[in-house]
Amino acid sequence: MKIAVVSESPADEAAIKILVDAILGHETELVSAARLRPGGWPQVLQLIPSILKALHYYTDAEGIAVVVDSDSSPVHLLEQPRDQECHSECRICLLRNTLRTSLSRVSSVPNRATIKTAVGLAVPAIEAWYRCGLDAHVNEARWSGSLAGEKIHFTKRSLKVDVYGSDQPSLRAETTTAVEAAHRLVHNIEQLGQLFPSGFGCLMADVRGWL
Amino acid sequence: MIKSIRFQNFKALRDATLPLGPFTLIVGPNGSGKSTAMQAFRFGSTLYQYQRRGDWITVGSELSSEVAVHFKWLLDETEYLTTTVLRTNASSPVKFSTRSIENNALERIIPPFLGYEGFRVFSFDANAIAKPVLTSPDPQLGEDGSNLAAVLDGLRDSDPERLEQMNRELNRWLPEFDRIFLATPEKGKKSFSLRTTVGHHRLPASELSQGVLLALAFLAVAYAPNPPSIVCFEEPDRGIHPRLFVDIRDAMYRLGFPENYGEKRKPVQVIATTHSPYLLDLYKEHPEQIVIAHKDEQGVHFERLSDKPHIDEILESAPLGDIWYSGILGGVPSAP
Repeated sequence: MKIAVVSESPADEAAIKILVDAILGHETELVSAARLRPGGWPQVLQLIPSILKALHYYTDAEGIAVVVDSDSSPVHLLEQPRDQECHSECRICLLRNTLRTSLSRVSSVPNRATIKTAVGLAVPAIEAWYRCGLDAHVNEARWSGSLAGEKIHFTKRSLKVDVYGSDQPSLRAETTTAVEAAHRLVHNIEQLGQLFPSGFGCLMADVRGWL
Repeated sequence: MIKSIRFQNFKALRDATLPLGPFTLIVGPNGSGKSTAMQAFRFGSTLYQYQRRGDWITVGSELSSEVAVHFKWLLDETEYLTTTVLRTNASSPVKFSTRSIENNALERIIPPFLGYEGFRVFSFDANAIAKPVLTSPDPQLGEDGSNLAAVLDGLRDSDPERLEQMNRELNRWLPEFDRIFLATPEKGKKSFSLRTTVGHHRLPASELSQGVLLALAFLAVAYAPNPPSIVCFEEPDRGIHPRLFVDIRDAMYRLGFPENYGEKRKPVQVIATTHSPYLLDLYKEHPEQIVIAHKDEQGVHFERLSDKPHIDEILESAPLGDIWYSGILGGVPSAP
């Protein structure tokens, strides 16, 4: 299966590809690693329509996985119907909407099936996923609590320090660590889904829907 | 106007055709042949001059055994194809031939771009721009921007109104300066300085910032009374603040589309290269002016952005620079 992965950094993309392969149970081929200008969430949301259309018209990609950091945005509500936004700032809902709208606007191409989509939200950042199995306190519920005013012991920055040993790692160091963490998480996929039911759970459900 | 150039065995360009228009901005990764294409212009024009003189030339070892540059050009609504071939062998010096396929009487139809005066590649260097220079009767701006003081001095004598226009434009680009001044630091030499808008202090060229010097050289080309018929700019954005990119674009458009700027002269064909997403953003409405240089296992090839299917749909939701940077249009460094 040929897929594209879109995220906020090349290091994240390398890790997400490994996780998607683990969910699918087989290795995928990366068609396009769209590399975005550093700018985080706004860049991803703005470029998704162009990336999706280019994949549709110029490639034989069968699926696209998009994962972004939640930062301080709300955590997605799982009970929300897929075609309704749970919150105007919910990044999962916004991405799903954008992907759905963009796909509805492309012209049909002979022998080309509709690209399958999967969306994930790393709460608050992908480094939280990398701490799965290493720090029981880092999970989605705790972060949701912090958004409601509860005190927690981790921040985006502290997660970076915990994972990379620095909050300013080089891209090379970041990628090496991310890939190592993803290979470790391959054996803990279900636990990752339980600790991060909205962010990783959504990605897992979407990707399993490709099968 | 040159419509396209086909390169064969010219450095990184094994067999690649570069489509060109009145204005062309080439984007691509390092090593994708953008600068090589500029060198090929020099190659074609130099060889043509040698051929006209009946000379033999020696070339560097970087050229492969047979190099060809085919210029397809348009003159008075007629298309011509001019091929310059350079062959080498172990026992003889290099020889070249140039012929017109459409019209055998090449000597009567000399392509206007194949002379040094008609074709220039600019790759500005701030140090070269700032240097005092010897005066000469018909000063030309060097490819690195050298000789600027002499060019400005010549403009002051020959076309003071144009220099005045340039002063106004300088002040619009860089409001902290309002006027160019010329000086004679020693007999037979010229230098320039800029006057500050506030306080009217004169800053000599040697004390001006790199960006100011580069902008000034750009203005000198844009406001030249008789610019070359083809002008290339290597990375015109280099050293310039992104907020001035729109002015850089307009300066290039002034050359390429003079009627839109009140100029009464023939259009200059402009070819530029860039790596800047910010500069590229300014061309979203004109994908026909963008050429993407792709580099892959098959070598380098060029593609006009407007020739990509469904490109309007792809460009509609994000800035062109961001879309190009993402890699979905090609023309970016390959992923590790």
